[in-house]
Amino acid sequence: MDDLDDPGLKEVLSRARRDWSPTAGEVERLRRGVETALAAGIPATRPAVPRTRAWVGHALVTAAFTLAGAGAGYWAGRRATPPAPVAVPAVRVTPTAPTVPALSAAPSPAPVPALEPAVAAPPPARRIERARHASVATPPPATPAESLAVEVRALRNVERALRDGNPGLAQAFLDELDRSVPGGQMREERSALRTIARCNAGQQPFGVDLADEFTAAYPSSAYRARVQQACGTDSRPSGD
Amino acid sequence: MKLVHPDPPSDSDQPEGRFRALYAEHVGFVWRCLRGLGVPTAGLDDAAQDVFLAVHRQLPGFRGEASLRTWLYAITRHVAANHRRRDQRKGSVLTPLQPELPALVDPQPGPLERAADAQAAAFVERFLAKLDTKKREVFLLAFVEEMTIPEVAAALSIPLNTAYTRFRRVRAAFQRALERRQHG
Repeated sequence: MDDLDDPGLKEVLSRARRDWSPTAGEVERLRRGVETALAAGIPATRPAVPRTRAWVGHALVTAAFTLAGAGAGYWAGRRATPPAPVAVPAVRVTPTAPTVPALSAAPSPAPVPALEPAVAAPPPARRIERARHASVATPPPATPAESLAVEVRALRNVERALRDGNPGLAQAFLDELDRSVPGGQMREERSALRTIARCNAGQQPFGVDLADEFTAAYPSSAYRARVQQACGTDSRPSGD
Repeated sequence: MKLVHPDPPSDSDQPEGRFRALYAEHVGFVWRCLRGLGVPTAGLDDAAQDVFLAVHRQLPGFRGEASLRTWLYAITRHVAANHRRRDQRKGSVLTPLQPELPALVDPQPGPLERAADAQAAAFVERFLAKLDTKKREVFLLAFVEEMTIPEVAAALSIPLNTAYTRFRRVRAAFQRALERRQHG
């Protein structure tokens, strides 16, 4: 930086820079997300669809909807209401089993999942219906790589549905994923997201703590804090 | 980061090695730029992932015509604009800026330090929110990322004199804001 030597100014900037920098957990989580997206062959960003060509986008999405199952169905459902330019970001998942060369060779601290806004709004029935309908003709993926790609796409849509405050839709995606890729390589992510979706939808059974159940199944999960936050239990780890 | 290496090939000479090294070295830069460009904190993960996927795709074509940070910033800026547009359509707030929940993993710095950092960040963010995009980018690159003015000019594709002019104006405005903060 040129000609900037005010110590007070420097200190403020230094502190702001530190606050803005990603934590080790965020760096690790991002690394794993990038690795998985690369392994699944997912492009960075779909191009924006100009408003004047919205019908083309709609047709393409409808085709993808048929071919790719619930994930595309979600976007078709989103476009069913007023067509607008859409730039869709790539995968948003925190995978557990990267299959491309690691971005960092050194062991890293446990990743911390993003804290999504816990908004519980009932999903439009049409979207869920479309997502479920879309799944009917979806053939099971033939190879592990294809399975992983389907999982990544589906979990991305689950994350997006949660972020949009549609826990019901998120559960519909998860149901579809369970049907199309039973088991899969990202079971912990599925379980975490389903727990979050159920808690966001207010579906905690009486006398059952879903967050506790998840923690019991995955005691060292990086999703623990996020699940606990969604389910209304303490989100801060002991000793923090 | 050395991208063209005359010595015997090492890991960083291979495509994946280059990408790995680039990620390790510049993830903080990308993250902060996204934040400074108005990507909400909840969307930083998404946006940063988009940046690095684009970087991975385009890295083989990068021949060092621009500096690496300049090239990275161009991608980051594009991704940030896409995310802001998407968020605008969704009606969410674009300026990030209030600290999220406390970091859950990083044990350092201590709570007081983190609080002071968050206060400083909030101050800078409030200041940034008052700037137009052109000045905001100059502030981000020159002040937060400590790039030289020629680097800033290259990253923003603006004449050097324009970059200096914006830098001086932004610096003066920031110093005034800082004085008001200290005396208010």
